[in-house]
Amino acid sequence: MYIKIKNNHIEFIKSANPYLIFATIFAFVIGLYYSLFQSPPDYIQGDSMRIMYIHVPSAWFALMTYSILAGSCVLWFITRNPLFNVVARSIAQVGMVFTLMSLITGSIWGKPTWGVWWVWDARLTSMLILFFLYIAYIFLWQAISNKELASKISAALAIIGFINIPIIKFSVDWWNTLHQPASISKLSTPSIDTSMLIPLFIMTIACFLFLVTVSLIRFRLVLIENKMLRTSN
Amino acid sequence: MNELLDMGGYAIFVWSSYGIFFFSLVTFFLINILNLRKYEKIFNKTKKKID
Amino acid sequence: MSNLIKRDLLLSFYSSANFFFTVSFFILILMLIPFAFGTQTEQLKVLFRGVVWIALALSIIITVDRIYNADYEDGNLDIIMQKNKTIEYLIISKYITHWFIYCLPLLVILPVLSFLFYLDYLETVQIFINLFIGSFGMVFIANFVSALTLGARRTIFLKAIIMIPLFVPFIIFGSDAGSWPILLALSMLSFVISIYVTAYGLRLYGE
Repeated sequence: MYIKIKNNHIEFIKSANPYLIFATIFAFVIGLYYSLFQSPPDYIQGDSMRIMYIHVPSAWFALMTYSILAGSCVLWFITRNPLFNVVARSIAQVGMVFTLMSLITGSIWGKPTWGVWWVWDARLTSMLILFFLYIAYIFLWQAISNKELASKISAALAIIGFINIPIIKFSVDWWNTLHQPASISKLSTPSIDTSMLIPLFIMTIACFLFLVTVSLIRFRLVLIENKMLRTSN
Repeated sequence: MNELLDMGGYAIFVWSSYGIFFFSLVTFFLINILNLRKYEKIFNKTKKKID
Repeated sequence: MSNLIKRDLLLSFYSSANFFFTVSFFILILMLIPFAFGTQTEQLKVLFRGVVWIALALSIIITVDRIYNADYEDGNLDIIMQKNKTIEYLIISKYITHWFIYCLPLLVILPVLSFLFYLDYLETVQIFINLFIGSFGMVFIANFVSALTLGARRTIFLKAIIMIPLFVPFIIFGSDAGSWPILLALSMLSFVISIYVTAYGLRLYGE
């Protein structure tokens, strides 16, 4: 089924926009209330545990967005339907923001909890590489002037990067078991109590709504950019 | 209220991370929606001129 | 295919990339270690293993623009593609010449360097084997990144951002002495991916 983007689709997305924005803000307000006020501070970590409520959803969505990006590029290669290319370009920046947020909040969370701003274990290194994969995808598309070519090249690189992430995770894990740096394995998160699950769940929903809202805004933006590129050629 | 601001001694960490998070999200959202409005205006203007 | 190899090697001899300059590049990068970190023997031995891989990665990243771009801009790429039905011969010849010009000097000078950094014979042989296997993998990766980004002008740092995450597994396993089987597997995997993707990229730009 060849999905073509028609004007009434765009009108529908445009009309849904205010509701989505309202829902995102509403979800974030409830999430903030729960994470900052309602949930109890952790026994060991104290109030710094609250950073988890924004760090964990960011990390989840950073990875999920890259999977959607790579999957969309694969589907674009197979079907050549331009819809998938537009989807990939619209979520790339959102994924980059989420990756950056998870790196920064994770670093700030790590300092009081485990004493270090950063540690070179498999997960954190993979997140850093993921950030550079997003940067590569976004800037490569801008660097190549022939946009047909640019789409193909950045899609190919997104797929190669997707293959690279498990390789790097495996490599760094393997290196760490060999070299035994001092402070790593304490980074496993403790088992989560239900009073903490609720704020986490609400913040996850809020981040998801944010992802959908901004992706749809960027979707319209990318469509207009494409039209302007076509009319200027 | 004091307890909220103090966050059990971790105030600077919690508030800076929440602050950076929401600041970045809001900024990113505003950049995109302002760009969208700008381009839609330009596009509609040229479309009207063509029609 | 031997004609293509001969052509590229001759071009490199007449251009600025000759053997002495490449060797000097490697010696100078490794010379920075004692200046940056101090001259204690044990520290130098440990640091040499890692920085020699960084030097190799740097030499490949800096010269990634030279693989296909000159031919593409001159139009030679189209001519070669029309003459040979299979473009893979061109690609393999590019692998060989790029490795010859930018990786072989390091392997040649490695015994001398290990003498400067207090490594004994066995360690040198281990590092040599790892470098030999891993340098091929890195050359394969550099080739396909170069073939994919022919149209992007003056983007050497962007290509570095793309290539370094792909080099990371090679460097992780390369600086460890007993991991040459994993390095061999990685190099073979990158060969398979690179042949396919480089041919795809060159055909994209050749049309």
